[in-house]
Amino acid sequence: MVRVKNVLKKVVLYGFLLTWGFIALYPVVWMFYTSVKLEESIYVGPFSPPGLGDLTVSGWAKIMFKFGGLQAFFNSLIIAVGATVCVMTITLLAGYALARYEIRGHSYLLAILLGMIAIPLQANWIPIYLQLQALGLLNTHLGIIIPLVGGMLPFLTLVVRAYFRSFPKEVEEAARLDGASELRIFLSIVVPIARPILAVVAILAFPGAWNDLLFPMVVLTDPSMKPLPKFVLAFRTSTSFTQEAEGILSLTFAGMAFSTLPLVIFYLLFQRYIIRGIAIGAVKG
Amino acid sequence: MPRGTLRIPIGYLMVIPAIVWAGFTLIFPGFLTLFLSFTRWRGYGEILPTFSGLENYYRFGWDPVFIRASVNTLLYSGIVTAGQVLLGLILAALLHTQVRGWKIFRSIFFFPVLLTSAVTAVLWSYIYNPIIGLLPNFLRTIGLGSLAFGYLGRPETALFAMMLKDIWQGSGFAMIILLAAFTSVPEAIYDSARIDGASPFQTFRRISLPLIRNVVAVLIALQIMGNLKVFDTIWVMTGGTGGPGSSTFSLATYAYYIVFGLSGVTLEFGYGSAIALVLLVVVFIVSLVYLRYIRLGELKL
Repeated sequence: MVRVKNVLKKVVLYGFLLTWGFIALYPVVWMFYTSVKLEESIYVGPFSPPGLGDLTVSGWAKIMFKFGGLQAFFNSLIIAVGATVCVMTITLLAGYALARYEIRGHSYLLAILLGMIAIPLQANWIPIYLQLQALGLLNTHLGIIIPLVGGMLPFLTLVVRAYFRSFPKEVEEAARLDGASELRIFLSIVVPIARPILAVVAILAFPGAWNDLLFPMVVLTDPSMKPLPKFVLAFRTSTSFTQEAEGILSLTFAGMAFSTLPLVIFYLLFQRYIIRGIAIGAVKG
Repeated sequence: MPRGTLRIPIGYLMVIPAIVWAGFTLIFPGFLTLFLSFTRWRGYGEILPTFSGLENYYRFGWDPVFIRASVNTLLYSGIVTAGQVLLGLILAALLHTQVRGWKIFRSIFFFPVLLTSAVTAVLWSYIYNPIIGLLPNFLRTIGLGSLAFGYLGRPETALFAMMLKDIWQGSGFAMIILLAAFTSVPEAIYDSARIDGASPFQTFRRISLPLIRNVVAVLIALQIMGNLKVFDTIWVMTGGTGGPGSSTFSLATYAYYIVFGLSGVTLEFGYGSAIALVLLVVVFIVSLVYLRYIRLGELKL
């Protein structure tokens, strides 16, 4: 009786896990294989995987070369890499200084940073739009990078500071006694020490900048500048196809799959760090 | 230090970029949003804003779309957060029972979190599509064909359809956080509970959950903050119109709609700022709860 109950428990447990695993994954898998199916076959059997007969890469080819998908990919890359490098550099400097140097007004600076965490970037885009306009930064990638970086700085600076505070400062002090300059200490001791926390910062910053839709929509009107999240807006849809052009389905799925592929690769490469980084970054600080 | 040399406060030099940059995008615009919310300013044709007192705030009272957007934002944030945290809690608790292959499950469950929400929004509008959509076809297969209609086309289902999409996408995040919290509880505590004959459910209710209470509080606050700001999902899945019939605007999408409309025309900075300010204040209040619980080093508020 106990054994039957145990088996039953296992079945329910794995049944639930497998079901949710299927729900989590299948929509994306569906998106990928539909992106290489012929338009007609999508209507005939929306869920059947493509056979050899209805396989096509024309959707992908059109997306990449004809509709500017490749361009959008590079725009995304510029924005995400640019933002990530800025965030890493600035949080390293500020986080280290706040952890190690005795700065007058130290507690005020911390309070300001904490207070800024509470201000949502997404409610501030109207003045940011005006500020960028005044600086002539509308329709530039820098105009997207600036607000995205600013929004991430307060929290991530405090994350970096917390890391250094939990790290013994004996090595740096020994180097200081040996007469090493502050710059030398920073470059040859602090930066190597900081590598794990910088990885966390990068892993939190990169997808945030890559996936953002609001600021590209606020800052950009020039279609050649737009990153992938804005690029796929061309395919947003109502609930029916009646008024839509021929071939739009395979094109839409190719557009979505093309935009998702870089993230899939990113996840496969850095999965372990991403999962750990999220857990560290969000709660512990 | 030799006399006469200026001691460079190197610490300041290192902190200043962070403070100035973040100030430029958070503090300064925050005050500017507040200021603009008391003005009337159509960006086209009017060079400067004119002070209009509380006009924009009076306008809230007789703007049914704003009221609907506020209610939607609160509903959305409440229901999506509840869904994400509950599902995340169940998944984390199950994975923490050391099921075989838990790492693979964890990777799969987390995967949707990383995806671009603008892209998954397009994807889900196809999942809901009455002709080729996964969900309507699934319902037809199991004999619930009467429920297979265009959910995004009806005001009474559209918002819930979008909530479901974000619960799908966000629960993996909650799971990761909670799983990390469960794991941080010393194994010995679980062992002694097991020896005392506690059932797994009792262990979960009486031991795991109370021990990770703070993490749950942080997580809930974090998710509420994120979900209050909802923009991508709603903007993309309704094509920016807040449709059907302006029934699905959130505060964020409505503010954008008021300023840029659909055609990219600069409209009403003043009223848009007032709407954005409401969002700012609500998120700010929730953030205070979040900051109360989060431990950034030894830092306390």
